[in-house]
Order: sequence, then C-alpha cells, then structure tokens
Amino acid sequence: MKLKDRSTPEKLRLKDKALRRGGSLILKILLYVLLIDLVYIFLFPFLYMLVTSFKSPEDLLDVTINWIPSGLYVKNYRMSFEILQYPTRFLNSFLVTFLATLGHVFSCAYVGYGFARFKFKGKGFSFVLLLLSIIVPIQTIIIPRYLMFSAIGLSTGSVPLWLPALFGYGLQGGLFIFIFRQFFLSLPKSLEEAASIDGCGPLGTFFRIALPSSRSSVMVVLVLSIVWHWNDYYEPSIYIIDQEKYLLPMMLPDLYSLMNGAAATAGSGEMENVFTEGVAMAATTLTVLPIFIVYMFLQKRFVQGIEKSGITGE
Amino acid sequence: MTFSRRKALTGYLFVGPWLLIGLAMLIYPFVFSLALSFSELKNMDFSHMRFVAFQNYKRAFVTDIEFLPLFWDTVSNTLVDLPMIMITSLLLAIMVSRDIKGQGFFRSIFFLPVLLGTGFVMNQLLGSGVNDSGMEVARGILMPQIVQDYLGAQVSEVIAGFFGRITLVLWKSGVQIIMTLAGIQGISVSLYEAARVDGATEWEMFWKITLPMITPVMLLTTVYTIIASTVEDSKVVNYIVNTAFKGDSVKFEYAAAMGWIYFLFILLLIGIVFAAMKPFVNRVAEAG
Repeated sequence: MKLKDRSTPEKLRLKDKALRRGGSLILKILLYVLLIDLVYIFLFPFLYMLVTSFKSPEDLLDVTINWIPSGLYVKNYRMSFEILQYPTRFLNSFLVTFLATLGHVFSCAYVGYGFARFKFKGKGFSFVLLLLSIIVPIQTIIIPRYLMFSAIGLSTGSVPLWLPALFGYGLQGGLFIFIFRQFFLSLPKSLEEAASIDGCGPLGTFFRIALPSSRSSVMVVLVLSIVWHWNDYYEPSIYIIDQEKYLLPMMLPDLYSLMNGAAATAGSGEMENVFTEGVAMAATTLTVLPIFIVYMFLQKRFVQGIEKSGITGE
Repeated sequence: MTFSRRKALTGYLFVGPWLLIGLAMLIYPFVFSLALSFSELKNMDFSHMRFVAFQNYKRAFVTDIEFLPLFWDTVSNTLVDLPMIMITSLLLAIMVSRDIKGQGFFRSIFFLPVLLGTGFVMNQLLGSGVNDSGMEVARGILMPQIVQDYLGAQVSEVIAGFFGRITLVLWKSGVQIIMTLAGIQGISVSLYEAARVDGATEWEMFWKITLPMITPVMLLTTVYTIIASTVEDSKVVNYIVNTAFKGDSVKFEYAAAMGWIYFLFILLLIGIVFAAMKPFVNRVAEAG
C-alpha cells in the first residue's frame, strides 16, 4: 500500500519489473511444459513395455485398449519366465556383472590414481595406451583376443567377460580410468601428503585416503559399469556357446526372432504376432528389471556423484 | 634412492601391471589384427598366414557389394546424429542445471536411457537399425493421430520422421547429458556473481560464461559420441561380426580388414572433429 506514495518514475520502474516478472513466469511455464514433455518421451518406451507385458492376446488385438489393459495378464510373465530360464540366466548374468564391476571399480581407481599422482618414464606411452583402449572398438581386436583366450583354454565361458575388467580393461575400462584420473587430479594432495609423512606407504595412502575420498567417482563408475555389463550381449555372444551359460540379454534376440518367425509362418500371422508381443515385452521387462532396482537404490547418489566426479576433465 | 626416483617407482607400482596386461590385451591383438588384415588364412590355421598385401581391403571396396552400403549407412547416421546429440544434450543439461522444482526427479528421468545404454532392449524399443517397426513407437510419441489426419499423409510422414529422429537422438544422449551437466556444475559460481553485479542478463551470461567454459567438455562429449556410435549395434558391425563368427564361410582375415577400415574411419572422424573444434575451445576453461 506504500506504492501510492512513490513518485512516478519509481512506479514506472516497478511496473516494468512486474512486466518482466510476468514474462519470466510464462518462460517458466514453458520450461516446465517442455520438461514434462521430455519426461514423457523418456518414459514412454518403459511404459509401453510395462503395459504391453500385461496385455492378454485379446487386449493386444483390441484397438480401444491402449494404455489400460482389461486385467493383469500374468501368463505372459509365466511364459517368459520359463523361456528365459530366469533363475539360471539371472545368476549367470549376476556373476559376470558382479565380478566385472567390482574389478572395474578397484582396478580403474588404482590405475587412474597412478596416472594422476606420479611422474615416471613412459608415462606418455602409457597415456597413448589409455587413449587407445578408449578409442579402439572391440570389433577391431576381438578375433586375436578370442584366439588368445582359446590358447589358454578360456575362450568358451564367461571368464573373458570379467577377467579383463580386473586389470582395468574390458567394457569401457579406459573411460573409467580416465574418470578416476580426472577426479584425482582435482583432489587436493594435502591429505595424502600428511598420511605419507605419518609413515603411510603409497598403497596404504591409496586404499585408506584416496579411494575413500573418491566416493562420488566410484558411484558413477559403479552404476555405469553395472549397467553396461548387464546389457552387453556382443562379447557374451562370442564367448558363450553353451546354452546353459547364456546371459539374460543374450536370450532376447533369439526370443524376438523366434517369435517373429512363428508369426511369419502362421499365414495371416496377425494373431500370432500380436500375441507374442506381450510375452516378448514381459521377457524384456524381466531382463531389465534388476538394473532398474539397482538404479532406484543408487540413483540419488549417482546423480550427486556426477556433479562432483570431475567426469568431464575439468 | 632419490625422492623423485622413488616416486617414479611408485608410479610403476600403480600403472605397471595395467601396462603389462595392456601389451597382451590391447597392443598384441591390435598388431595381430592389422597383420591378419593383410594376410590370407588356409583352413583357419593361424600359424600359416600368407601375406597378400591389400587383397582383403580391395575385396571390401571393390568386390563386396554389401559392405560399402552398410558402411555408408552407419557413417551417415553418425554424421547426422552427432550435431543433434550435441545440441540436445546441451539444452537438456542446461535445463536441469537450473534451479527448478523437482530437479532431482527430472535428472533421474533424463539419465534413464543410460540404463539401457546401447543394449538390445533399447534397439528393440526404439527400433534403431535393427527393425523399423519400433520406429513407429517413437513416431507416435510426439504426433497425436488427430494432428496426423489434419496434415495429410505426406506432410505428417515428414514431420513424424523428424520427430522420430529427435526421439532417437534424445535416447542416445544419456551419457552426453551427464557429461555436459557435470561440466556446467564445474563452472565457478563467482563468475556468474561478478557478471550479475555488472548487470548481465541470463542470455548474455549463457553466451559469455556458460558456453565458453564448457567448450572443453563439448569436445570430449563429441569424441565420446563418435566412439559410442561404433559400439552401437549398427548394421555394419553386425555384418563384420557375422563374417567373422557366423555363417558357412568363416573369414577372419576379411573381417579384420573391415574392422580396420571402420576403425581408421573413426580415427579420421575424431581427428577432423578435434582439428575443427580446437580453435573454439576456451583456453582459460581448459586450464581451469
């Protein structure tokens, strides 16, 4: 109410400010509309997958049923659970992912620390090797690697999938080393120097001081490594021949082509094809479910970790 | 033993084992596959490799009618997607870096694609490369049926194709959004405070502070995008793998040659990007 007392130019200024605030309000609304739109785009495939997996064959044919199935058709899950041989394959996948991720977190932090903290002869060459390990696509070197593993009798089975990760190689190992290197470069040395003055050896300093303080980077590497190992089916499809030892994602291409094939041979095929989509989506849901659960638990710290991890080379 | 000498030895303690394994895991396969690509194998016997110069490479470029179209398909996809991924990841990262309500929620949603990464599931759901029926899903997202009817088949086809592409690009931008966001978070707040005191608007601050300061990150993101597109389940990669491991006539040496052509192209692309972007990379930001 004090407004009335103010002089004219002051009033004008305030009006101008209010106008600008109004403008920014519209902008804000637009921003939120856009954000929600984007959320929809990002969620759509997941929702589609989930909804379709609960649709009965009749629901799938019914055009009026789009997002809400007439009931929870659990038979899809029962079928895909059996086709996938879920418990066995889950364990196979879990074992590979667990060992590889554990290996990555420790080995990549270890090597990244070495890169960030010490000067030594051949560091330039080592850095080139690091860049090579990031850039060279696995397809270029897979054949000799396969031959190497077969020379030591390990080419069939899951060992080649996690063994390289223990030494900082394997799926995106180079990238993870790089992430840790960047983090340790940005970490002040003073704490480590104090530890070493107090008589802590280099290994002790790394395990007791450096590694615990790199929790944010560990989080980022942990999540990415879990996700990438769980989803990978290129390398597994080369090394694992025994059906019993198949990993979960490896089943999906077979499943999809099997079902498309069944649809094609069924003449009109429509019924068959649509019917199978529900089962296929149920199988897909079952496959990605574990990493979703992991992400739900780690999500908050993962997002925070990104902010602090120096992932970008600052 | 001098201090610096001991420090160097400690360096080997950390990097040495990795380096040694790298000779076996990386350098040896690297050289071997290069040698393989210039040779001919008889009955898959690796002890008798015959040097045939560029024969395998000639086959890829001249004889093989499948390889080049598939190669070009992947290359053109990468070239089209690259700038789009860069722009969308920058925009999305800026949006979630701002002080908005539900920031954490939006961030965790935007990182969702990372969960599926380049896996088969994502390919099935969005149908990039593997089958086109999934593309229909992506199209429907941004184009309600009514709009499609109104615009007519041809126009809506073009627009739907465009939106479908954007949807795919958004889905491929997961890691890039993370990297860019981390870069934005890394910019010192004092820069913005100083600019605000001097009366700079948001728009000016974006062009004068945010963008210059994240140029090093942008370079890194671009390189990552190129590399990521190689691991992706593209047609050409499938073709190479099938040549090497599946089918009746297993051809290791030919697959190696194709793998090298692919790798050299990626190296070339990274080189070009580096040379083109380097002048724009802010020196201060890089040193910071």
